Amino acid sequence: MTAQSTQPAAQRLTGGATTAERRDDLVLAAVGISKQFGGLAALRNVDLQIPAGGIVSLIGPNGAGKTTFFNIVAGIFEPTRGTIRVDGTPLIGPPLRAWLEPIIWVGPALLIVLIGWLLNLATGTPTAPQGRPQTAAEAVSGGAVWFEIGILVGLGVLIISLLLAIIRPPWYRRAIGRLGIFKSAQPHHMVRAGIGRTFQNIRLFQNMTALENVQVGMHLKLESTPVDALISSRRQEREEEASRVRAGELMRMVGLPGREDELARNLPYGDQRRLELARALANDPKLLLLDEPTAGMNPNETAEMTALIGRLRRELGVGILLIEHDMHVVMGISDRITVLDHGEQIAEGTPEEIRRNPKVIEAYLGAPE
Amino acid sequence: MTIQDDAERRDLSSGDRMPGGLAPVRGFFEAHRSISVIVGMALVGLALPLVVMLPPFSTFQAGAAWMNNFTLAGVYILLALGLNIVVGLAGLLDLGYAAFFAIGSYTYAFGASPFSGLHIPFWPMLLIGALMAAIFGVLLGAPTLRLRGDYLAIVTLGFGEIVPIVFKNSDTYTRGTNGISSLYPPDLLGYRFSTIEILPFYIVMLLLVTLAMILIYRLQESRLGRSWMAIREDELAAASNGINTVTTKLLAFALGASTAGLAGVFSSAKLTFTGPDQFLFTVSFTVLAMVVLGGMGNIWGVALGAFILYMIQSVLLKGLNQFFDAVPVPILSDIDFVQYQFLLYGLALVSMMLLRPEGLFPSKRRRRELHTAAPGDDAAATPAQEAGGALQ
Repeated sequence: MTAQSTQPAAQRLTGGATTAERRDDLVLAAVGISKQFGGLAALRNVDLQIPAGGIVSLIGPNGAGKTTFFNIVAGIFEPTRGTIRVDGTPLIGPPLRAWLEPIIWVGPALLIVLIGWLLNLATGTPTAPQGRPQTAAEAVSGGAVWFEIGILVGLGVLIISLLLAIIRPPWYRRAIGRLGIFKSAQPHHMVRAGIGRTFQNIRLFQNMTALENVQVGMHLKLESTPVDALISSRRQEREEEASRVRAGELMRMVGLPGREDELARNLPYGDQRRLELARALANDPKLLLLDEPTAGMNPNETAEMTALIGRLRRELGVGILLIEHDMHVVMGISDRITVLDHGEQIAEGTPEEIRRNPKVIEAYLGAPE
Repeated sequence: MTIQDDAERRDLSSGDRMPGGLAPVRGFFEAHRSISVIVGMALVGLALPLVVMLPPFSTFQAGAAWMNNFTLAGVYILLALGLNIVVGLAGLLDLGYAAFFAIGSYTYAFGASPFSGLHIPFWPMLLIGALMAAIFGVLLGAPTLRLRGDYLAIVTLGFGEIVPIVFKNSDTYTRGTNGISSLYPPDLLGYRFSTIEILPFYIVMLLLVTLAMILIYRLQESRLGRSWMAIREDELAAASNGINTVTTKLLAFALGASTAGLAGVFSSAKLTFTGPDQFLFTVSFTVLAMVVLGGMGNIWGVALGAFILYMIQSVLLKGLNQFFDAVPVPILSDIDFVQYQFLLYGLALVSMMLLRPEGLFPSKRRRRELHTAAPGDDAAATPAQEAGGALQ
């Protein structure tokens, strides 16, 4: 906790007018993130900020909670406490009364059925003919008409609102948000907000070609709808062609020219890492989450990857959050470093500060007895 | 291995980028999928009626009976094409697919029969039936989307049982086990289709299958098709690339279901009858077997697999019965072959999984997936080697 106080006060995001301007430059602002797995506190009150185009590293011994933090920023886990803003937009906050959402749509449906029932009571009971089963037409005309209509309309409302709750179109989400019902962002929301990520153990789409992998990464940049695809519209054709060209450019940028039609699984290990990077970049992210990008690489490949990361920052101005075990890489490339140990944030500072911080040395080497 | 890979790579780079390769004709057809489907279906559609006039087939049963079988096989081809979206492309195992077939069927029965008193024409009913099935596809998909693999299969299995049972037990609205009969057949510009004249149904079926194949091809090669494949490959990675896995899977369910709805409307209009016993689990299973045998993910393969299986089930096995009734062979004459069709399916599936797991006519992708284990192993071995290198 004391380590946090070494940060300038203006960067602490405690709110207030003075920090408003700074907040806009921050591509990621995570405040007070805690994560509880049952009784285990995986993260306790972690703060982290990344300025646009900055490289921030997250280090710590195994089990320190680095990947947990990563997964929270990527929208895979929901934090127990804390808020995350990406590029100024609040995306993850405390889950507020999520149970209210179903009530909004079940409520009116039940109400309509109830009104139908009351009207039915008022207008008399249905006359079921004896001996043979009622036909549909008789059921409607036999006095139960209000009840029937009530049930039908109620069912209709239920089905429509169920579909809405599932599909969650933007206007619906806005309306729900205005009611103060908040649902934490899912991975694709984080991607939409400008986050791209790679995985510690490469997760490419193995049986798709390299080019298709990058095209999938471009998903949110493409606008053609399924209807466009069905009628094979101009937009669809043009967009597909453009996406192939753009994917080719990205592959050249990460150093994979001419490998477009190779299956992802057939690429050598180092190239798979590069391809994953190209896929993450395809969506023009403002923030890249790189989970051990040089894991399992030889010194040569590590140097190349480090250079590539530096180049991406320079050329694309993308902010980078890096988890890495290779201290050469971390110290060489980071603007700032955050150190986690047992879920606690034990230090934050420039590489030079971290190198000398006694708490960090203790966490890595053990306390002197 | 590299030579083979090269060949496969050339296969995969679809014709639109290198149309003038080794085989210009093939390149043309790969670049113009819709034309190739239309030409292919036209050839098949013309060839089938002619082939059955020739000796080995014409002695078997009359031409009209063949055409009737072909038309009903078309229903199963539609079903298999639709299930292929769900199982083959999006990788979601659906064991209750017959439910959507039932919903399409009953939609037509409600829309065009003396029982309901309505007579909506056949053509808009095709759309309405597809739409109804799609809505139920979404409603089934919504609560089950968090499930994967086996769990999803079990839930869909349940849904597949529930739907026919609901139709069977709500006597008032569906006439229960009796089913709804004397549905209105389709009519077109004053011409009324009749159950005796099979040719118009055959032509409509050809058109429906052609249309479905073209549309599914287009979906498969679009952004949505890529998203389905991405979800099949790695759901977490797909979500981390901005794919909304929930809506994408729902779309797979909805589009698969709507194809089944289409098949349902056609089949009940053709049979002028719909009843709960047409939609038992065996239908779901048969269609799944068709998709697997034909070659998951490959549209022509699935269509052919469905056609072959349907012909075996409805023509060959009955033919064997008749044959052994006429020619007394000790044991074989006592066997009712139709009773053993599922034994045959089971045997076919088991031997298929052992000998040719990718299906009879696999998509290139699936074949690679199942037969190039070696490069995959190499890739898995590499990190360890590299790590070893890093340690030195």
